[in-house]
Amino acid sequence: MNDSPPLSLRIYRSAESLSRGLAWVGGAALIVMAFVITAEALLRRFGGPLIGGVDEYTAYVFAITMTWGFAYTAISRGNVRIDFIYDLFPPGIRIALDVLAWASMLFFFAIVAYFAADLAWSAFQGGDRARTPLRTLLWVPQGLWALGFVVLVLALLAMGARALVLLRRGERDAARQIIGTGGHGEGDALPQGDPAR
Amino acid sequence: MIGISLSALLFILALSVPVAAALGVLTLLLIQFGTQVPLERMIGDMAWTSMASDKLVAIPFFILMGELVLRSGLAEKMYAALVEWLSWLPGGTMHANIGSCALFAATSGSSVATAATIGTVAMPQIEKNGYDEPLFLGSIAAGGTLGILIPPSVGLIVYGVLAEVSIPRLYLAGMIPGFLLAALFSLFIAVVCLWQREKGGRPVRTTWAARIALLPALLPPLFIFTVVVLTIYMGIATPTEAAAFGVVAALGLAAMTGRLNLAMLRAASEGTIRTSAMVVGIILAALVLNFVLAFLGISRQITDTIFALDLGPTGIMLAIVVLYLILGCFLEGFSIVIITVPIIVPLVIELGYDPIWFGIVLTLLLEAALITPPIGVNLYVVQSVRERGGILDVIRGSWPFVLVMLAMVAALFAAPGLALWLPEFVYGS
Repeated sequence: MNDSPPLSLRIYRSAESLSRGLAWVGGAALIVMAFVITAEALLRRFGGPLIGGVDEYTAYVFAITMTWGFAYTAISRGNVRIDFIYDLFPPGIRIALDVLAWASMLFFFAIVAYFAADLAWSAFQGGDRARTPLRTLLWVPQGLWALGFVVLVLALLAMGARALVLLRRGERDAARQIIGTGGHGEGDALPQGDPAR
Repeated sequence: MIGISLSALLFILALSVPVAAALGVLTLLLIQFGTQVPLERMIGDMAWTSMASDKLVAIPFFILMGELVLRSGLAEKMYAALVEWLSWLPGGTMHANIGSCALFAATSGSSVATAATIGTVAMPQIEKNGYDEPLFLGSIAAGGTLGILIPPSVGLIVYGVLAEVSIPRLYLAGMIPGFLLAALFSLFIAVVCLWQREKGGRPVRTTWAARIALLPALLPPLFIFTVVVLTIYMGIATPTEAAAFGVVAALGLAAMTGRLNLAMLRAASEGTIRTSAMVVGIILAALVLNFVLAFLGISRQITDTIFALDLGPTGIMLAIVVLYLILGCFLEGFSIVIITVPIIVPLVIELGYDPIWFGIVLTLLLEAALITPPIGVNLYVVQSVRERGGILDVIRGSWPFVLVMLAMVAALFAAPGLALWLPEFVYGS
């Protein structure tokens, strides 16, 4: 294992690019959805032809963009951690807490990913349709939605592998850059290098 | 059961486990040890039902809107204009801090985005005009909290969805207390600076010509506010549609500034997804937990225990206020709303209080939570954009504003009409 750090780094970087890419797709999907919703509302108001089913598609797009975004939030360390006790501990215990935090994320979301995939799979097998006029085949949105959880689990695994390799080499600070506490609170809305700064 | 669940949750959170994972782990423990029913098979369904919602989509829309307004430089121009208009007051540009926070709050749903944006553009003023640093920092941290009270507000949407009350009514109910609170903040600054003149810095010189020249900078935020809030009351849009209008309007305004390009959209997408996926992750975990709590009868037990205390309605409400203030010291706002609302709101309704009114009281308490140490998100945000000195300066400047917020809470108890008059006037009771 020790002679293959580039592999864990390569995997980590791929996971990072993948989750960033999914975040861009998510942002684009939200912008498109904003235009569609605006168009439908205006058409309804001013008596044009109705697009129909926008509510339903909005719900699907929302669910999917958010699960697709989970990996990016995790890998950019955007998840809120209550760190006032954490900050009181020496570095050795902090890194143990970082590992615990990482393991809890993996544990919970792996289980959610499993049952989400299961839901989509049984919808596929049963040919389930939404109880709406569109009669959407549910496995399509549910499958894309479940995929987001799977990508999150993969990203968490990539983070864990990279952190483990760094820890075995004794590079604790570098490992904290991967699984440590990130910015404070609601995910810092103002990243460094912002054009408005 | 209640005691064990609550202690387990607080313990897991204190270990710095991410909030979403902490709620999730507790849920799994309750499923494993609390019941023989294989509830875990429902997790997929519960997660899908919680997330496939056309109401929650307003959350990423508002965050995106704020990102666009910020990255197109509109916030800086708005701040510059308010400096010209408000800095004749005792306390100078600190009133511009409050005013631009209130105005930016009206275009953004988030307190953190508000504090970060205004903090970034305001910080150079401290040295330029020689203000008392803690007071100045406090005005930004506290002003930023207006983001969740003045509509549109992510907090009110989450509350509305969880408490099953009308979001348009909540928006209207937040309007008067929101702007009143901004006025109280300004009044407080003015009083302090009249009393201790050295805190107020050097007076800012300005001319009417400069003021009028900068007036157009105030139009974009007002335009977005009109599009996102007023369209709801003109019967054109639902809150979700209004949020979509807001995104389209912010894109249009960004295009007019010439700063709209692919790189900017990518950066805005990253910021939006990072923040909203974090919030939605917590909501997802909390909704699954709530389902399990209700199934196991724990929600009911909590309510019964509180009633058994026999404090009378006022006593219970005071206990609730104190509970939120304590929780607010240790937890971050969203987590508090999501964990407590499904349990507390039925109790509040049973006591005979209006859930719309309570939504506003709760939001004020959450604003206080944002600036009470040790976990006050806005304190950290302001400190992080300041990039020097210690967090204690921010805390010292912010705590008096907590008292102003509590005064506002007391006013809402004394005169519920502050929140309820406007929605009743528009919709009838």
